[in-house]
Amino acid sequence: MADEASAVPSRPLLTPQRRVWGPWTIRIVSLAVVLLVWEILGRRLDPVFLASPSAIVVAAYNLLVTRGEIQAAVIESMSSMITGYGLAILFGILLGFAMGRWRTVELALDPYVTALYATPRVALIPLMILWFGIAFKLRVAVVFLSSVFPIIINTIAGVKNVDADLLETAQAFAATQGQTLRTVVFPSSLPFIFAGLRVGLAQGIIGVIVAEMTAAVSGLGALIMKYGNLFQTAQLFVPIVAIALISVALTWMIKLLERWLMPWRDLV
Amino acid sequence: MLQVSEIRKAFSHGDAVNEVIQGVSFGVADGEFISLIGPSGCGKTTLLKIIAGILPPSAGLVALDGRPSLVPSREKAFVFQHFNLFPWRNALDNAAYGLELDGIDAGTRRERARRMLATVGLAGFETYYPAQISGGMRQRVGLVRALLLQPRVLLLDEPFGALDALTREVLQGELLRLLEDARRVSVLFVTHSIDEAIYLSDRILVFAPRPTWIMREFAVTLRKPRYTYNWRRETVAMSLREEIWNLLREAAQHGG
Repeated sequence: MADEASAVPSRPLLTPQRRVWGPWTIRIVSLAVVLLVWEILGRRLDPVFLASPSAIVVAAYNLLVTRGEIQAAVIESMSSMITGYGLAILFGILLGFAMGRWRTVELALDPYVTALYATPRVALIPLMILWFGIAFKLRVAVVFLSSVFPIIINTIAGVKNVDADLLETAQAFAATQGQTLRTVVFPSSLPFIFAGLRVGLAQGIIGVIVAEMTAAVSGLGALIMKYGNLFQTAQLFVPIVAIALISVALTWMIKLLERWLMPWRDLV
Repeated sequence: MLQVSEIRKAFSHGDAVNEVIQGVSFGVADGEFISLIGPSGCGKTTLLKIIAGILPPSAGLVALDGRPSLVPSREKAFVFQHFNLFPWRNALDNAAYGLELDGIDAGTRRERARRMLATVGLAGFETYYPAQISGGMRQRVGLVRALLLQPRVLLLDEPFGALDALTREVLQGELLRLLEDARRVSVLFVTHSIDEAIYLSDRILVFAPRPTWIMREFAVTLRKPRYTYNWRRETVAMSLREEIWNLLREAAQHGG
């Protein structure tokens, strides 16, 4: 197995090209070029149509330091995001396990899961405003509904995808139901669960922003609406960039968690 | 003492009934090594799984020391052809799996696993995942996982069938040495290899093609330990090999 790599004959045609630039150099140069073109375009066009990066930086400084508006919005959005996503993880994994493991539970719940997953969650926001108001509870509910279904569906897939030979192994070693779940079913479905967590996270971020844009009281989504309505394009870009950065950071954290929990994944 | 009595097994697919085992009985004394040999697909593995308690028989009984034993138990340890190690556990925790199910604390079970892994040359590989080690090393972990339980019965389903010829011979020797330290264990070893059966066994049961039954039983009288001399040269071994070979060939021509 380990010898396979060395057994491959060397083929000069496939050797990588001589690297003039490392990957990070390429990324940074690419970013610099894009920002430069954007800056030139931004300065030539109507500032309402497109703000230049330098104008956005100035706006960000004002919103961050002078007025502190962004911090407050980030805290608003993230607190509801984390609460809703956390609840979705808890319920999604538990429900996914139950549905994947017991046929009765699956038959009973599958129609709702499928129907709700297929329905655009945005369509439910007016109803949820009636139920939960327009503040924290609404955002938590929307995030929860946005991210719970991908987690449920992927967990079910993971639980059902357990290697029959490994289940038989646990059986041969006289593992109890609980031990089989803990030592075989759970670790084996972990890669699927994480796929669900990644999709759920992206959906949850969309959910919180859409909820804030609809209810438009607070949070990053509300800021976007506010500066959009005021035609302050440079300020409008600040929450957008903040959302992008937060999304990347959260995705990165999930990836790190995945590596840490499943070091064996890269080997298989 | 393991007693297998009148085991029958049939699988039904809709209306069709597919008979696999036609009434098999034998006993295995404590410390005895028995090989089950027969044409592929004859039902040896099915029989082994029934003895392990993974599959229920259609009729018959398995008893351990006179008590019925038809469900899995850690007194009966299983070694699989394709190793069946957990890819998310390293060698140490794979080896300690049975002890973990027994509720033995992490420190103790890992120490015991570490010690037995060292006896099969795996010192230093404790933290390696199955994907990082060779097939031979994986099956060493599989053997340790089974023997750490100090089972009464050791069930091996073509354990060296997926390995190359050289690794196979090394592992046969290691199995024999491991068993010397586990004297009371009764071993049932499913194999396709006549040589392997002769080298390892006290007795060899030759199975007929499906639906299977025991065609004949051979006692292997070669002196032990057999890894100390060239047993293949012994006339006993040569005539035994020929007899079993002829029996299997005849069965393949007439039966099935």
